Amino acid sequence: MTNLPALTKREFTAYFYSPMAYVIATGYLIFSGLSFYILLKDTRDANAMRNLLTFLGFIHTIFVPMVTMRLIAEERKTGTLEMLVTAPVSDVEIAVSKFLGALGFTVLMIAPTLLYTWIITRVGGRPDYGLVWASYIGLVCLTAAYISIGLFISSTTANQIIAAILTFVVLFTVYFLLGFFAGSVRGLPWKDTINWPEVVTYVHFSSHLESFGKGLVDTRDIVYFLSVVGLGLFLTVKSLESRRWR
Amino acid sequence: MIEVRDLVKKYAGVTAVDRITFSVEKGEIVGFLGKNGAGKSTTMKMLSCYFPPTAGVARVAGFDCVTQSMEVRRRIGYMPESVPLYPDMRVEEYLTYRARLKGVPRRERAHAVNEVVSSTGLMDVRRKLIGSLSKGYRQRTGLAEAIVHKPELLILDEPTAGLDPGQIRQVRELIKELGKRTTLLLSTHILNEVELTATRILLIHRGRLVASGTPGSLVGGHQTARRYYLEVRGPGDAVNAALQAIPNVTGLSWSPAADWHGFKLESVPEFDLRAELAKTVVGNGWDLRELREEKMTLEDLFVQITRTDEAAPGGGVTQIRPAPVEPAPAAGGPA
Ligand SMILES: Nc1ncnc2c1ncn2[C@@H]1O[C@H](COP(=O)(O)OP(=O)(O)OP(=O)(O)O)[C@@H](O)[C@H]1O
Ligand SMILES: [Mg+2]
Repeated sequence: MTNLPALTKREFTAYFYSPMAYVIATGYLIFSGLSFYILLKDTRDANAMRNLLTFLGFIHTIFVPMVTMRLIAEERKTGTLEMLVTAPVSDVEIAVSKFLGALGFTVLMIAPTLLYTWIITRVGGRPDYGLVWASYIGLVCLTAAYISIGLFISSTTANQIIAAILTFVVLFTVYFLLGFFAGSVRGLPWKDTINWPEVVTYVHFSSHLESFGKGLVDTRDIVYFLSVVGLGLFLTVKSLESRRWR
Repeated sequence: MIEVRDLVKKYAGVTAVDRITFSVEKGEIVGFLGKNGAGKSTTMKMLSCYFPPTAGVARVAGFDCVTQSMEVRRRIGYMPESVPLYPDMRVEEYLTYRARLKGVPRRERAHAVNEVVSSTGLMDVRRKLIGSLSKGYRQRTGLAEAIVHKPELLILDEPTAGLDPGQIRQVRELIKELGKRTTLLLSTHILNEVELTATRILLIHRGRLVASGTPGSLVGGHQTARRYYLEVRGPGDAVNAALQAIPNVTGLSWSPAADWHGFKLESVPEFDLRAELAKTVVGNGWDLRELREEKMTLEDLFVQITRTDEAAPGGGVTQIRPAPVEPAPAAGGPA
């Protein structure tokens, strides 16, 4: 893991060399600001934060794919992946550094939204800071899970657009659509041994955000998101290794 | 330094490399030749651990390219055909980054980068964005990257492709210089380049190794005959007959002309017949304007071996024919 700092630094700084990243970050701020404004206008209470969290989780299904699409697809396309994997660095280091680089950029992208909390105080609200921090921890955990999924999908193609669309579809499904299906999966096979609605609810990202939105940092939820990150990184490493049997 | 045994690489449906076996000793400069699609890049990608062989063994510095790939990767410098680089990085920044990945210690990094920047002639562009460089400078950056950690083995896939003649010469000089310190495997389509730089040639055709040796021995080994060209003024038929009568002449073709007749001759490889030929012509009172031995070039050899219709080896002057014939195609090639 000795190359991890150098690789991560490269992955992180690469974002700042790309005009695309600034466009994405700006778009994100506009979107999140707008949604915050709308939510705040109506509620003006602690619920605003919780609703904001849910809404940002949704917005991230659109913006995270744009952040992760280039991670490996671009290198595959330009051929620099060949330089990267023939250097004495491990596939794990490559996957982890790319994950951390994208996470760093995304956290930086989210950071300005903390200003909104301050705005609440200016308009006379008294935000519950415990709830705010819990919400942000939840959001970062959720985003980390998103990124690892986006990273894996980016490793499967040389086309960034395809990577972005595919990632969006997967994230949107796992974050949002699954909620609707929880009730309709009762009839699946082995229904006597497997409680399908429970499984779906467990896989469903939103269900693990609830306690964060109530100001509770539940280790079970953190473990859940960390497992998704682990799975995404594992699949990415396998995908990088797959050149060995292609 | 390199040991390759029965190496096979199959892409979906295509056998790109087909049971290649060769080895390269420390200090050699090996030229890898073959037509487009022969399997040169594929072999180099396996040696540089980009992907593993479908079958067979490849070892670099005693380490297996599949099971000990990290050890191999530490010891090689590799420049792929397309010279992939990060366009958003600056030359020096990129070289420093790569030096770090390749394990050049922090203290030595700046020095190592300075050294390759000056040896590859990148001084003027060291702070430029790679994306703004011309093809030649990108090529040099790729080369600098490949040597920044002083690898034991350098694998260069067409290092001079796309360069202008001046740059080709510079890169060639650099390669020669590098060859004094490291083992080198380079592919190229410029045969003259291989003759100038390589100590040994590996010629592959359709994924198979078809020839290996020094440029001289390869050409010599495939030379089944000596070839001469003469221009004579005199009665064509009589000259033709007289030349044919010389012992050891095995082939002759005559391109008749009004004044100076051109003759292409072949003899057994053991004897040099030039003195004999001159004597015959002059002794008969005919005029001799030109007499030269036509040495087979690497290019002739290359064309001969990689000719797609493998059924017809040889080439050159055909067997003795009494009547004047058109010169055979390969014999008239550029000398
Ligand atoms: N990624 C790939 N997928 C499928 N086939 C491939 C791939 N890369 C190369 N090939 C095929 O493998 C064969 C050997 O290709 P390779 O690139 O090794 O040739 P080469 O000797 O380097 O040729 P060139 O002189 O054009 O660079 C060719 O028939 C080529 O079409
Ligand atoms: Mg090639």
